[in-house]
Amino acid sequence: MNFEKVKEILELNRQVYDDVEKKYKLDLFESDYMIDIQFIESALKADENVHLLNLPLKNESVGAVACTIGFKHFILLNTNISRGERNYHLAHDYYHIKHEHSNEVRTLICEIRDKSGEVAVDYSNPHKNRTEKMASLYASMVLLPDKYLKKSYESICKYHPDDLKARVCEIMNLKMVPFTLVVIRLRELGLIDEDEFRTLLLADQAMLENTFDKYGINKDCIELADESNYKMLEERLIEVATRESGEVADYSINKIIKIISLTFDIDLGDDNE
Amino acid sequence: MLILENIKAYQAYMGITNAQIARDLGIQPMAVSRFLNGDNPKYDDLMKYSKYFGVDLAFFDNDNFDPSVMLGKNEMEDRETIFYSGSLSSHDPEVLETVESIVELFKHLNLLIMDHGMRL
Repeated sequence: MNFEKVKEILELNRQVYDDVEKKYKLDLFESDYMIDIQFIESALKADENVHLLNLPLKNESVGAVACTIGFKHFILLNTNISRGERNYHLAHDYYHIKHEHSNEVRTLICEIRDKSGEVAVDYSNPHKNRTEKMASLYASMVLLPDKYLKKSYESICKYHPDDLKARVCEIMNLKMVPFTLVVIRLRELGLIDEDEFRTLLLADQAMLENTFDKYGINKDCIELADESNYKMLEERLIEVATRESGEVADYSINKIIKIISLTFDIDLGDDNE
Repeated sequence: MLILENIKAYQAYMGITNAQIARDLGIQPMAVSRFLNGDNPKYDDLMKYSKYFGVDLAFFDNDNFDPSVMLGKNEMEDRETIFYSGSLSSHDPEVLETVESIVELFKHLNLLIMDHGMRL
């Protein structure tokens, strides 16, 4: 990843660090309540106003799209990205949905994040920029809490005293998070110095995979998320089409099928043509 | 047509002229007038106008329509937000196209959930 871009993320994180730390102390530090990705996923799934879709997008540069329409929140997670990246996007959206006490419930808010989790396009108003920074930092702190990271990094250093990349891979595997997130958090907490930070950012995907293989570390976090909800979506559309008849419902169902065939990496088969 | 009558009522309530809508949407004022006074509007046009006003199309499809119900303190700001969402030309067109498609998908899903009892 681009060094300057990561430096910028560190700077943006610094701007809201105190705010996030103070406001969400319970989520981040209290051991009885400390939340993790399993908690986040369950909480989102349990919320009837949140609709979470896992689908493979043809465009692999899009990590996730979140959109609020009225009181309903829609999150689309691209399953053509790694599990680690997916978890980061999910934690980010959890912040928006559970912690933003916005009075803009009627606004159509939409944003797009690239694979690194940075907001590439923000459809909402400029006042939300600080919120975006907070959501990004919250996600990284929830997935890799300060105390946890310090403690586990200390132990991992003993196992891999000479291999910096191996330490990062171990943490990626332990918490199912993406590489850049671990590197940023380690630098943020002063656990690696500037030179180590630069060295790590030179690592590419092949180098990382080699490190996972070399030490036999589980590679689930860098494998594709690959948990498509398409079958469920198809079943629900058929259910509505069978039960409801009317131009608007038919129009919407046809539109959805057309969008899926054009935008997603899904084989619809002849029946849906 | 009920939906069009309600759109006109909402437009009047908000104090927005045809010329203003035409300017914001980048179309001729005559096209706005034709749409509002026509009797067989296209679905895409209905979606475009409901998006412009920042509400779901279902909001206008209501026998007991009351424009004041949707008015909140951020109403005008919301409308602006949605309008500007269409002019992000500096970004990768393929990415933008993907996002627009997904937003469209969400809107149709929302309509099926709200109006047709779809479960997701």
